[in-house]
Amino acid sequence: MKRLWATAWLLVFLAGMVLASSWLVYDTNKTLLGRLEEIGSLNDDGQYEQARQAIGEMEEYFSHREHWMALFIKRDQLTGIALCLGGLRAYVGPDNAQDLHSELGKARTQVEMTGHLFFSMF
Amino acid sequence: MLVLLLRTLMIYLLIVAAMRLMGKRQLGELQPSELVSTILISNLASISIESPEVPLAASLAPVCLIVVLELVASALCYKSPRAAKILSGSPVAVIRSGKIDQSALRELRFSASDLLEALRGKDVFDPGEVDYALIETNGSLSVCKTPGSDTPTRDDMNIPPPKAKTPLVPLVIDGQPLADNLAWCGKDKAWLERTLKKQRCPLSQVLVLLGDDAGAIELIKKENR
Repeated sequence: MKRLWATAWLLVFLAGMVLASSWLVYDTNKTLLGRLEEIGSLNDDGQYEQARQAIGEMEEYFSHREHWMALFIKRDQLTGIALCLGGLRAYVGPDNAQDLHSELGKARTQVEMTGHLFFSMF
Repeated sequence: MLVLLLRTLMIYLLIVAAMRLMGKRQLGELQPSELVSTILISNLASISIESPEVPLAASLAPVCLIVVLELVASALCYKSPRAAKILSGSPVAVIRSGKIDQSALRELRFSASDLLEALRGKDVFDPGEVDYALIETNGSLSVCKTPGSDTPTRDDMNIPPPKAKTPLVPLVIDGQPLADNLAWCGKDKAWLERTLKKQRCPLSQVLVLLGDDAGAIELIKKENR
């Protein structure tokens, strides 16, 4: 009987873990993708300072989430995202718009791939 | 390095807890589902220890799920004989009245030498001595010998039972009294001190002291180096 209770608690623990990890990955990815979109728009509108500020905020947000996400996602995938986000600042400005969009695309792909690997069954 | 050690410690504790939770059945001869869960758990544990880039949850969650599945399966087998038959199979008789059932052996893909080897493990060297033999669901062989070749019991030979109701159990091991066994034999520490005094052996010099409830003792002293 004690073991059946342990089974029930383990199931609750697993369900909690599934819900928490799914929410964490979904929310983080959604926020990052939204921010990447916003940075592209700010740069296109000539608001370079705000774009740099948005990149800084996004990096800070991700560095907080990264520790929790490392509980569920391989570290090299998270490092890949962090590297993509870290390089964006250098491309903000009127002369590098195309390069910035290319880097934003890379970062978007990296974030989407992480979500795909976490959520996809096959 | 410290992280690796901590991860190993966590995985070790998790696996010990998992094996304890799954019970003694997991430690002896295994049923098919138990074998599967043991193999999977050992693999999952090694992944997390060997690869620091893999998150701990990648081991933790599957191990927990396997423990849950194993406990649910064992509870199901306990409640329903049909489920037990599906999950673990049923015992198969391979010898009846001294005659080997060759069709059962073929079905089990058991060769004659496999059977003879298993019989030798039961101290049986002639299948003719076996009245009935079963291959159990965990793959072990259970043997019932013919009355003519079976070991006679005290009842068969009309020998009265021994006075002692308990077998010879260890009362002291390596100078440490075993309180549970002393109580089982109806003895206490005062009896132990008197007995050791009679034997002229201090407690610290006792390697093993065996005894039963009828007062029989067997003392093995430590050798002085």
